[in-house]
Amino acid sequence: MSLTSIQFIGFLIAGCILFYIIPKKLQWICLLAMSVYFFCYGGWQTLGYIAATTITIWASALLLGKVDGALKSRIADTVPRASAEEKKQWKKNAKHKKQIIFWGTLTINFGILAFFKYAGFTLENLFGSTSLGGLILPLGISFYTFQAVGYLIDVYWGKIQPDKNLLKFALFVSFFPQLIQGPIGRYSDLAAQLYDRHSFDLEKIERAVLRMLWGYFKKMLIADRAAFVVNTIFDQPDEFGGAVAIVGALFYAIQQYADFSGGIDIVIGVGELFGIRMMENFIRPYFSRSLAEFWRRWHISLGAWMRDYVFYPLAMTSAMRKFGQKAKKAFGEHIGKVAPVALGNIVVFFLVGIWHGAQGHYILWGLYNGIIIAASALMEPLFSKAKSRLKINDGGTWFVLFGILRTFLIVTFGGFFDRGISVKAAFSMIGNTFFNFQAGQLSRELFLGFGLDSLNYIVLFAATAVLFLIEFIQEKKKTSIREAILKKPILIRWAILYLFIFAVVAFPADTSGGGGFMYAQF
Amino acid sequence: MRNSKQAKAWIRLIIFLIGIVVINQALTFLLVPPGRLSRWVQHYSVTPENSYDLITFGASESMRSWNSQKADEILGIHTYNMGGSAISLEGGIYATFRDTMEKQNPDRVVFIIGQREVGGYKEDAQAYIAIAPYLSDKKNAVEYFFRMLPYGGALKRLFPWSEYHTDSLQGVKYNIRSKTSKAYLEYDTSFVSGNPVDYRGQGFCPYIGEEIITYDNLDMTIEKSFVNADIDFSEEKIKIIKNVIAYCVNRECDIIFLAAPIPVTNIASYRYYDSQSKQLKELIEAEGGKYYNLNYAKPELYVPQLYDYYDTIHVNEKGAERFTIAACNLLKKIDAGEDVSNLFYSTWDEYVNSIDYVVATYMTAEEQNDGLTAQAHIISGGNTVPEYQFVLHDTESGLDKVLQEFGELDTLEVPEAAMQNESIVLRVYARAKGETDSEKIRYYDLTDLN
Repeated sequence: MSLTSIQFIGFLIAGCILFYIIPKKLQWICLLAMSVYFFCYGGWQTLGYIAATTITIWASALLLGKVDGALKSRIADTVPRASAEEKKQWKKNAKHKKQIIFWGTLTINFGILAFFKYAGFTLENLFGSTSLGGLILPLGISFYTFQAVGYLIDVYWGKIQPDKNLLKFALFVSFFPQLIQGPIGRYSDLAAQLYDRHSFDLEKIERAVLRMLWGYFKKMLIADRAAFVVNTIFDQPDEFGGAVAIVGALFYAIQQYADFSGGIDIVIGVGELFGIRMMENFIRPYFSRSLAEFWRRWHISLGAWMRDYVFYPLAMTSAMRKFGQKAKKAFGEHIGKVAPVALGNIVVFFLVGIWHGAQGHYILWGLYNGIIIAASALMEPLFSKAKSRLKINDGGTWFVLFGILRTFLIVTFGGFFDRGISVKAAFSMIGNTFFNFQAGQLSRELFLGFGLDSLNYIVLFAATAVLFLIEFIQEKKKTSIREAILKKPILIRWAILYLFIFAVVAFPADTSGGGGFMYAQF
Repeated sequence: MRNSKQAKAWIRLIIFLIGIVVINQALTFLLVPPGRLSRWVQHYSVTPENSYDLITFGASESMRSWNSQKADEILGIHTYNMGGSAISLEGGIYATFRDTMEKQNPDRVVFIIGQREVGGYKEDAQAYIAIAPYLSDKKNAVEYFFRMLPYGGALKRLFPWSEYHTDSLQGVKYNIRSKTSKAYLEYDTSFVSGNPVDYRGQGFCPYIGEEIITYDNLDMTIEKSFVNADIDFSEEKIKIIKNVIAYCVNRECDIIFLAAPIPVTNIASYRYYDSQSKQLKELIEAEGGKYYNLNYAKPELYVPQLYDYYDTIHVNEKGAERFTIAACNLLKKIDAGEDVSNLFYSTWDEYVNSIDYVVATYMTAEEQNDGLTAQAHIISGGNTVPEYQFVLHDTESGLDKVLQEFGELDTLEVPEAAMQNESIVLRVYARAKGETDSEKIRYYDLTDLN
């Protein structure tokens, strides 16, 4: 069920009414039922996979808890007191048991994920066929697997207690708004809210609807239109010259942000309808001054997941420590400190690339980001020196603007790898950008040939201007426009809501050729 | 206290939602033109209950081919044509059927359906906007909306002004003036008079425009069109046919399906027409309905003329009259208990063999070293012996230069030199051997000679 479909709106209205009129103790069951319905809407065939993830991780977490509990009771209950040697042995045994449970469960779940994400690609490369024997990719498999695995890791590390109620845990894994494109929630943030009792509050509903409408505005007015230009240019990499390739990359930057962040706005708004606040996934990333900052403001939930569950554990390994020491010995204090972080970043971004897909262009895109971030960190002293010599004020308007523009260009350039249909296509477009650039390649006829008429371009540019203006105000004043609107008198609030509703209804792009959210494919 | 706060919140929410409905209605009133599309069922919606004895249903093929006034004259009953443009079996056709049947309870229902009605034909949201608001029972409109959900366009159906709107302030003024006029409000047929494709009372009207189909230079892309495709009967549409028949059988209402009239070119060249017609007949008869294909009727019942059509699937005014007379005569014979099977050719071959003229011709060409070889083809009856004449036709002067006189030879080698002038086309005339009636001599121009 697409988040932009009328079916989804109907489902949401019906679910919302039911949620607030049933006894509050049943609300979480209502959410679970809605989630199962949402998941099975297109067919129940893949229900088994999410059920398998839910059950294996829930059971493993319980087992991990039991092992911990048994160890604690054994230590506490043993009379006379156990010796330090005995305790050490028990702890070692418990750790060993936990490792088996943990890695076994991880293997099963990442195995399912890897099978669905990469088997087609592997088969295609080995045998020229992408058929998985009629198996259907389960909805949101990347997102729910990462969310569930995050929970297991937290339990394994003893950060949280395992959830004893399978059905409640099933709701945490399958909570319907976040299934399609995240954000990847944390048990510690989400679970209590999901199981809590919520009262109907019109102000909250208004807040939620406003957030959803902002998402629909981005998706239906901007992203779905920009997609026409992007798809035409990127799907025919050798057809167009460099100027057109640049236009494609710029439109892709707009499309990707409006699509993904718009989708997340809808998801967060839907969550808020039910009184549940989900993690923010974007904080105006195109105002970032460096690529590292960009990644702290873009797809935050994936970045945070990678940071907490991959980067930190990796950085803490003895191999990494040794690597740091060696680097310090060879290149000095700064490199010794930064090199392990840089290497960790490269590994993390390599994994982010693979998370998007097994195709070479995704891996290259991940490495492109990782290497730039690593190189920036390693060369920081050089930059500082240069800034000092040139007497550049770090906080000066022009330098801030330069930083924002530089970051935007780096990200946009990365789009050639990310959106390119292959490594060859990406390099072909990059080659055209540098060696086949002529302003004359751009013409009115060219733009009209992308499938959008003049009115559509006007809507696209006007809506993008509105998006930029609102983000600019929020970035500059560090205030939420939504909260400001909600403080206005009811007539003004409603007028704004009506305006958004009818703008979205009046100017949706033609999605007969596809539609859908870009990140739903991941 | 808390409950009263909650109640207030709910009331505010309801007021907000009512606001959406009101704004939507206002925008629809101001922006959507008052044209025929929004008034399709205007007369029906104000007709008293149980006014009609026979009602026809279907898409534009039905709308164009049934002349209610003529039918009333022949059958001595009161009939109504509920066919509508661009509607599908599971969409507008079924919605109007359900709504009309509840209100009118006729003795007989006639479905006039074309082959596309059982294939993958999808209805545009425009049809919904034209029909749903005027259905007597709003439950049918809601059901119609939900039945159309899988086909997309729900937003357009709910907010029609977003897709179908005037683009100027003048248009808005016109909309307000028209929609508040007495003629519009009272469903006066004069409101739409002068429009050749609109309502004329007792439902919709045969096409009374000037256009007629031309069989010369017949666009052979027809080969690629739906009328010449192997249509898979849609499960949803089959379900609707079964529902329709069951509904009528339960109400003891006679239900008859008639194949929509289509030009002989389509039938004769249509690889799948016969098998699909048979399939449809079996399906309908198995459910207890009756199916007749008047396109296979013998001359004593129906003699469709070549120029009864204004395009490849719709009859014109004359064609509608001829079809209505034939259909009514068929109904009279059925009512009289006559065996009507002898009024139809029993096989497709028998039907095709009855065509004794060349229906259409077209030409293909292969390039040779110093010119090209043209090959003429015909669509005709099975026993027609064709003969061809090849000429160089000057499109500017209209003059023909004969290259090969009428004869049975259907190929011609054309030297390159003959085709240098851009105004010159290679034309083939085809006719049944010895045919002298100029209306039965077809031609086709091969234009891309260079």
